[in-house]
Amino acid sequence: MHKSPLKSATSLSIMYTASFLLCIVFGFLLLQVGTPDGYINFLMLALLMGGYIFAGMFGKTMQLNIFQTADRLGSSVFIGQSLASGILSSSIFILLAGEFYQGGIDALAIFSGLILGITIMTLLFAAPVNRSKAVTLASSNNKGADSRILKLFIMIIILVTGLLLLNVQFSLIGKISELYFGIAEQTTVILSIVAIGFCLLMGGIQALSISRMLAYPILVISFLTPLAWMSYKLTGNPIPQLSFGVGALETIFEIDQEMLRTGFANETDIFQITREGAVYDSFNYWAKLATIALGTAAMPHLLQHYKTLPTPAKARRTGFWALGFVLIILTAIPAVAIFVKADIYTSLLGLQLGELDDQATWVFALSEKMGVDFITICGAHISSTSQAITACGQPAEYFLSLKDISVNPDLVLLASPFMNELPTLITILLAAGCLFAIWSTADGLVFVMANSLAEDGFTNFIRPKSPMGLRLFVTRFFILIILALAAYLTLNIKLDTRFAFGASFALLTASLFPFLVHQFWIKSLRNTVIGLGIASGFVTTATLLYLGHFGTDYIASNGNELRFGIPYLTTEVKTTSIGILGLCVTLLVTFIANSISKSISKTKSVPADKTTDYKKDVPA
Amino acid sequence: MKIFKRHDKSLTGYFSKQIQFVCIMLFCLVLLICALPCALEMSNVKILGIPLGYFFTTVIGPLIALLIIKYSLLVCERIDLQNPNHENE
Repeated sequence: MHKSPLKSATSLSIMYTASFLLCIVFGFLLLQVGTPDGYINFLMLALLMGGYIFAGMFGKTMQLNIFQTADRLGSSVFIGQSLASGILSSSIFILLAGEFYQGGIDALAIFSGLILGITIMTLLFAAPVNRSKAVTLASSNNKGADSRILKLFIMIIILVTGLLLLNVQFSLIGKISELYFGIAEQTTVILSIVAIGFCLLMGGIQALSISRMLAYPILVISFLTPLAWMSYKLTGNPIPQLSFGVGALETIFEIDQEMLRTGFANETDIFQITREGAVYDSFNYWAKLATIALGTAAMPHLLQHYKTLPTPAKARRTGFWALGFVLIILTAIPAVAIFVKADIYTSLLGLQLGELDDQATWVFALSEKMGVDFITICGAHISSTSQAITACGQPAEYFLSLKDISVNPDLVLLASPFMNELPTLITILLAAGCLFAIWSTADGLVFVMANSLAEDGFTNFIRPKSPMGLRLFVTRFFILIILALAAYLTLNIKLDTRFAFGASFALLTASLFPFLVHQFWIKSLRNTVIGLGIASGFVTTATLLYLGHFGTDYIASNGNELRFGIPYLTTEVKTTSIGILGLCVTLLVTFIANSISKSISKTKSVPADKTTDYKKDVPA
Repeated sequence: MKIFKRHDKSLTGYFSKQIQFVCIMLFCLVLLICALPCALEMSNVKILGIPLGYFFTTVIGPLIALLIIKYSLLVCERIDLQNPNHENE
């Protein structure tokens, strides 16, 4: 009898991880004999693509149920790995490291929100999603004729949020490919589409689960090896989660205190990592945390994995494994930011401009290597001491202070290996990890959008009784369409990464989360009522997000954007916090619509003779 | 509580038990992961050189979340066993 590919997960994972390790050893040997770095980069890129092609070949199927739900034969541990790879996207690493670098307050909200979100997803949705026999989240609603419109609306939500997240993921490909691989953005985007497209077209969610499962060990090796190296180099302890406090954070605090004492900096300049010390906007903090948590819990590209398990109990166990796997990597992210901060404090701060040539050559090297401004001194991109002297307008004896040094937080993670002058192979490992993290999130997004288009769009509206073969063909066709659309949008529309990331979470919180709670837990509301509620929440959130980012003149960041506060709570509601406002609108409209619906039902259900009797009793 | 009546009038069946349990767990989770670190930041205690609130948020909080999921797995499975026909509800 044919054995299910998901049943062979252990051997597949071991084989692929072993070939990755062999590739590292081979790369090391090649570097020893003087092979240029570019060849090692291509070797690594080929291995990553090979992983996706292998997953596609191994998980290939021509059966619709396997293509959409992997025949429900997954094991908790391996689907947990797949789920963890889906959660651990490059945008999470890069944005979170940047937030931790900047001060840690917003980062704590994102960090806690993610953990809370995974837990809520497991507690609330793992078992019901698995129990549902439908293949998409919207399809599990089959109550009445109005469910078709609701399905269509859920499909639109999945498409909008999916494309936003896909744009975030693919836009990071450009940065990574130019910085590490020296390849043009277009080339890497096309390679990514080929790898993801092949895998998804061959095996759907079965191949997707395999590719994500193969990605997890690679992510662990790729992210934790450079971090352990950095940690050992800076603190003598290779476990970054334990070493960054004594080894780096205390150094930063000591230097800050010294600067405050000598008047070299003031309270607002120094590094604050807790709510006690920093400027803390409690509304935005809690709203951001809640939006990230509820948005994560309602992510369709993660929830679809619960359908690949045989029982609800196994689905819940998968959530446990996923959180455990995520934590192994996620808890190391604060360490990267603190190490980079400590590096800047110890190697750049307090240097005289004239000493840059001797003691901080990495600044010039980084400026040349990155091509973009990771670090600016006195507001200028510098590649020599004379440029720094000109930019600051000071003599060579001038001491650099905190206000002279500016770091782009979005590049903290990507720049960290260069700053610490790690060996080439370790740097390439981080690049491979970043690229694999992007692919392992993007593939799930593409699949969930294509599946939703095929089932909730085509099957729901155009051919309700279409044969299995046609539905399979249509799903594959939509996979190609989504990939082409994602590539076009990435190369032509450059959205602000932070905005797109926050906006997708806000929209999910305001619309998909209440829908799922209704779908799986409450169930007593009518489709019209819940549809009206989530439509109001979605439209309100989308409008506020749009006006807040682009303003009324369609141009971002030119000062004409909508800024508004809430009396007694906050002076300005931030992008991600808008999700909670949208959720409030959804709940309010749902409540009002439900009340009206109930009163109409009562009026209709009063029998005619009773109405007559009532009229008789009324005094003249 | 009207919303539960559709599934179970006695409020002791599968869905109500699950809902009650999930609500309690979520409340504990929010309290332990989000609110407690705020309170801990008032103190000047450091663990491994990391302020207590920060350490709690980034290390202890996630471990608590993991334990809560593990505990809820056991309870939910027990509720499942006590209500073998719940899938028909």
